[in-house]
Amino acid sequence: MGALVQDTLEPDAFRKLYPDQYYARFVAEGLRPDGRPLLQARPTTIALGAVSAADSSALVKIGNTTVMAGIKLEVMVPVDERPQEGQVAVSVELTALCSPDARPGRFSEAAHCLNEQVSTALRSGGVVNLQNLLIAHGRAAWVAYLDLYVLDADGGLYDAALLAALAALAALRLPHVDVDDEGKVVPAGASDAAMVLEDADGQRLSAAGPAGPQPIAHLRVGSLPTALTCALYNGQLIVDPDRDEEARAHALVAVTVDDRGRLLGVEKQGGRAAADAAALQSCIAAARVRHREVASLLRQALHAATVPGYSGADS
Amino acid sequence: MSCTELAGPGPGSGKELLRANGRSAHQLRSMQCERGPLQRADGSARWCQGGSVVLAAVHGPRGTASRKEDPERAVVEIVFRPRSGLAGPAERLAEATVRRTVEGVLIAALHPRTAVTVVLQVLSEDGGLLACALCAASAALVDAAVPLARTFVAATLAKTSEGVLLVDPDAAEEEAADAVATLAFAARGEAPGDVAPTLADGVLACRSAGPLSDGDFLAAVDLGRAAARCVAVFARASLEKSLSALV
Amino acid sequence: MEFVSPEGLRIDGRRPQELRALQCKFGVLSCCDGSALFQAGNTKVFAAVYGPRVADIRGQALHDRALIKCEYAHAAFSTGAARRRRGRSRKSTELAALVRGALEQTILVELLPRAQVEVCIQVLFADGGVTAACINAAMLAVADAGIPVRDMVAACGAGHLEAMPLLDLNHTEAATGGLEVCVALHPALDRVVLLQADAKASVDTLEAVTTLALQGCKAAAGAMREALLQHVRSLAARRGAI
Repeated sequence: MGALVQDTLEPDAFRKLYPDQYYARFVAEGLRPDGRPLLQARPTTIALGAVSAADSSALVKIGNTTVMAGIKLEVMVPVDERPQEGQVAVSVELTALCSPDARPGRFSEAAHCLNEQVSTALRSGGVVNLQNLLIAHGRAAWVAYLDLYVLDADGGLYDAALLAALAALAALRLPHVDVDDEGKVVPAGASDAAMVLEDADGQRLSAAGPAGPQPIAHLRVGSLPTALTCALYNGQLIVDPDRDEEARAHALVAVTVDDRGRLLGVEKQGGRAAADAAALQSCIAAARVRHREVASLLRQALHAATVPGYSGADS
Repeated sequence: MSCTELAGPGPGSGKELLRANGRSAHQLRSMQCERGPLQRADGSARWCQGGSVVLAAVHGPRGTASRKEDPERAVVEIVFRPRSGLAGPAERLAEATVRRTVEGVLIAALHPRTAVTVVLQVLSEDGGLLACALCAASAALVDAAVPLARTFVAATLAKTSEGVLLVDPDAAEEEAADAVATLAFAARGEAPGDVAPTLADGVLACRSAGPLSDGDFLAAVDLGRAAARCVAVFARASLEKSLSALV
Repeated sequence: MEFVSPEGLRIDGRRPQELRALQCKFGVLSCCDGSALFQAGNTKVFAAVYGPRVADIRGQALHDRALIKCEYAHAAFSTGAARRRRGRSRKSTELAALVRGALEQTILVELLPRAQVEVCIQVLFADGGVTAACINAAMLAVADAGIPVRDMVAACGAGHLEAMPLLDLNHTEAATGGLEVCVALHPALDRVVLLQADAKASVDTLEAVTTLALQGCKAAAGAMREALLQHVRSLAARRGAI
């Protein structure tokens, strides 16, 4: 019995006493402690509409990493410089749940970084045409408050946060409203003097046009950017590292690509190892492979949530 | 002591195209580096890249709050202060990038349980700010004689809507550009007496935003390395000049 | 507005003395010592427990018992109302204090001197009964962390609308501003840990509503106990003990 206990404890003791060697031995064999091959990402799920109090919500899990995105719509007066545009305001919070280091109160550096990274990706990918958020030129527009809550931080936060933000935006439905004579926003059909408003993309967001009242309109997203974080470790490329692996990695490279094959961002925040052109190219290739997986998951989720324009099949 | 150096025309030719600011596509702006402008910091540097100016101060290695210290190595803290107002998400991301870059070159094991603090104050802002901050940090760390495995330099590139890669864009060019990339490279340790510094092959830090094709990105990495090499030559010349003034 | 139809059904289709569907999940988060998700109808609360471990701030450690800390936060989109600004409000401080009070009565704090147990609560969806859901979620997370307790603590709310006591009010029912009580109970010790009422009511009404809430607590405790047992069994099966 004693021998049995010894045998079962040994790898665990090795892991605790020599964590670096433990990990290096795994990677040398082309495997990782959680059993994945080096180039395999963790299982990913996307659940839409998890919180019905929000106008749109998405819960994304990549392995243990869990990010909840929720969107609340409010009406604002467009800023003078951009009378035809609404706004998307992103905010990221690392909840006290997500890791022993995170504490509520002051925004942590990680939350700020995630916020900037997600906003940059959404902006440079042209995900939201802000003109689609217009209600009435210069008078009213939607502002979409996109709140991201990291519930469990186990590596790849940027990948999960971007996916959650994208899923929530893609599933967002804009109520059909009009602006009455006094400048108040009212549900469509409530005011007889319905105004026909122009929209750049020809979407029926506001006008009670000849097509009759349209209860809602989906906000169409312009592209589907997804991100993949890769770790460089002893000259090896490790895809989608978890929190332990991120801490052990010699450098991290996050690559954002979209469904049109464009490279939206490559981010390498220093680190002990440098990335030569070949390493960067393999990170980009891995991000493309991952994009196909994630985009098809997202399309399936949107299809299941009956968002128009998503057939469910891989396109 | 201040020294002014003008980098020559940038790498490559690219002379056929003149930008609105009169430079050719591959030409860097004039650079200035003042070493040790601050008396009370352990090391400091003011780095000017055209209209962008960043003042960097290094404190440490010195003791730090016990909850921050690492028993095996020195920790790096970066404070990035914008020209006005409070630091927001963009500044915090720049802090993280500079911190990880410095962590990549600092010989941290020499000073366990200490912190090296780099304060970066933006004095004026005209494009290429992250690269300017990285260069300022590198120069200030050298001035503070903090043990580094390598120094590093950085360059910014912008891809215009016509698909042309511009080296070291100013704020107007960044605003109009489709994509902007900042690349940092480590300067390879050379034998004493070498005239020209050489850069490591790999990218130390990289941050690109905006749509690019793979080819564009790889071209940007190559062009960024060539531009960074010019910056490294200048940094080296400015350091030698300030050292010779000491003797 | 009619809250109970002539057929005796409430707006969400429940009977007056019916709880919403309860759901308990354990080990939902990876980086803490214990975690749980508690759902009552739409109300959805995550709780995570860190500890017992050395107190973060040495001066706060108590020499004869464990220090219980509680953090509460809710998502900006958790309620149907307009988006609230993040950050601590008096409401969230009060909720955190209530949960901490209930846990201090429940955890065997004297077994863990100088230690700290921290409970973090995140409300994703607030559809009435938030206080009770927070206490229940915290209890489940404490159990998942394997921290010794006196007894299970289970909480439930009840209200009084249209001259009728109603169990487990949802947001619409609670928003009327009538009497609502929240009770937390140690079911095995048969001891009330927390009793909160926030409106004027006659003694008879209060008694009727409190009695109903106590019944709700017992029912909730039963459901939580069942979920916990099932979780322990599945853990044991995974370890090969059964």
